[in-house]
Amino acid sequence: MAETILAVDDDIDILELIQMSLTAEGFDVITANDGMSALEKATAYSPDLILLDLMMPVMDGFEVIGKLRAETQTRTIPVIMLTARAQTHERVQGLHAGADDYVTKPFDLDELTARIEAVLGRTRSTKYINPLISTMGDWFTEEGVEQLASHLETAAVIQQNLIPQKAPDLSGFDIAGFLRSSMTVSGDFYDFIPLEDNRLGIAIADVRGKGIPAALLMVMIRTILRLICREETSPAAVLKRINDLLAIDTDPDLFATMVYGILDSAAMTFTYSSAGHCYPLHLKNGGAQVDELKMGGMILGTFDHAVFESETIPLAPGDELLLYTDGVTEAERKSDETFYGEERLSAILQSNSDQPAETLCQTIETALFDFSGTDHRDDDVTIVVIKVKDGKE
Amino acid sequence: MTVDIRKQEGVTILDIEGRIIGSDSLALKNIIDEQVDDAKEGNANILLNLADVRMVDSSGLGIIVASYTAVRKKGGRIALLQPGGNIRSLIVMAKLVTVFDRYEDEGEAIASFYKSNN
Repeated sequence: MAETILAVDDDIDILELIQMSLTAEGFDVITANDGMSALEKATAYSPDLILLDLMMPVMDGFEVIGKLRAETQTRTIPVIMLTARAQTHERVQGLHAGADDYVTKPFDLDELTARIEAVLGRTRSTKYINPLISTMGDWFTEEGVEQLASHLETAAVIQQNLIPQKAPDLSGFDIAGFLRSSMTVSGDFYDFIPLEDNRLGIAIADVRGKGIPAALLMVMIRTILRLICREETSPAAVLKRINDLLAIDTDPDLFATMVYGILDSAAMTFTYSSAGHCYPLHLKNGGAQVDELKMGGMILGTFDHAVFESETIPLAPGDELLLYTDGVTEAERKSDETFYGEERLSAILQSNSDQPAETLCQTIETALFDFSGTDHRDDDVTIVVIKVKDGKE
Repeated sequence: MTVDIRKQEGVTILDIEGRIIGSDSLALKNIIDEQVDDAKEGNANILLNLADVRMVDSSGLGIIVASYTAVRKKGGRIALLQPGGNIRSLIVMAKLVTVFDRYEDEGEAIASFYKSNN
């Protein structure tokens, strides 16, 4: 995700200049031309950094910094002051008030960009734990952040260990999973659960929201899934139990989408149910046709009255199933504000159907990169590919 | 994304324009939360006018779901006016067609709040 910079200056020409040059550097730039609207926009948009002119009428930059630092939501946003060359005293005062750096006017655009990069580089690691900082309130200190960062790294390792470390071995099938997290901890996950009678449980889920709250909910869902998947016979019943437990225990704002399916290697079927998740794709008839698998029910965790249905589809040699999260279809090409979308995904599945499952995951990831022109993702990307071997392999 | 707020016959109408993606979602959530906070208990009647919304991503849909629960808690109702393009397919995919009342006509949408309240 492009980082967002809020530029504040009462001089419209300077604002335009800043906006133009920082946009060219790949930042999202929003602007404000007085202190009041700067505070409003800082609260509304939670920018990654604020460029703040000190000398403004009505509410000057010092007052703005003071107010930013007094509010939980804005206290950690880094601020770079824009000051006149002569104002040494003001610069010191600004740094005391809580600014992170300063640039003197008239400024060189390269210097401005370099300063922004330097400040963002220092604060990037702490940004990810902002959800926690608000709960810590006045306890928030730099040591606290460092401690949290190390806890977060530990959490990320624990979480990575919850993702299957290798592809499952199911006779007649070639299966692979891929997850790339946009943050240290992720809200996406996938899972392979061996069931009796040569069946395999396959799950993919996307928890709305990001960072720690999403990761905690992900761990809850995975745990419930692992506990109950052998008790319930149908995927719909599994999703219903997960939904009802989440609806009781969590804030309705926290929700997830998920597909759970059972691959039966003896019956050659896939029985699945989808909780508001992106439709899995089923490539069949020797690659000639791609079906969307739409059966299921509502998103998980918000509505205790949600109901789910399962569907069983027959599989033939050469068929492929593609499960994915919306980080794939919502990968964005900035130049014309277009999402990658299901049609492109479906096409790439068709034209690369001869690839092994693991290679196909990489092919899709590469296609996303080629499409969006960046490997910096706004969202986690998760892909699961299931291929029915056609006897030649 | 830009949002204009107007009140009509006790219904708060949010005219949203542009795209609701990425950080727009958070801004929209703040705006809706404010309106819900300001509303009298049992009277949080919110109509999201999506006629001029070009694109919504899943986090945008997430905010609309979150608003639904916030409004319900306060006692009230949220409805959607002219959800077009991809938001319609997102709602279908999330199986939320039965959750959100959708209207094509503003007058009809406003009138619906009085039917359900009385």
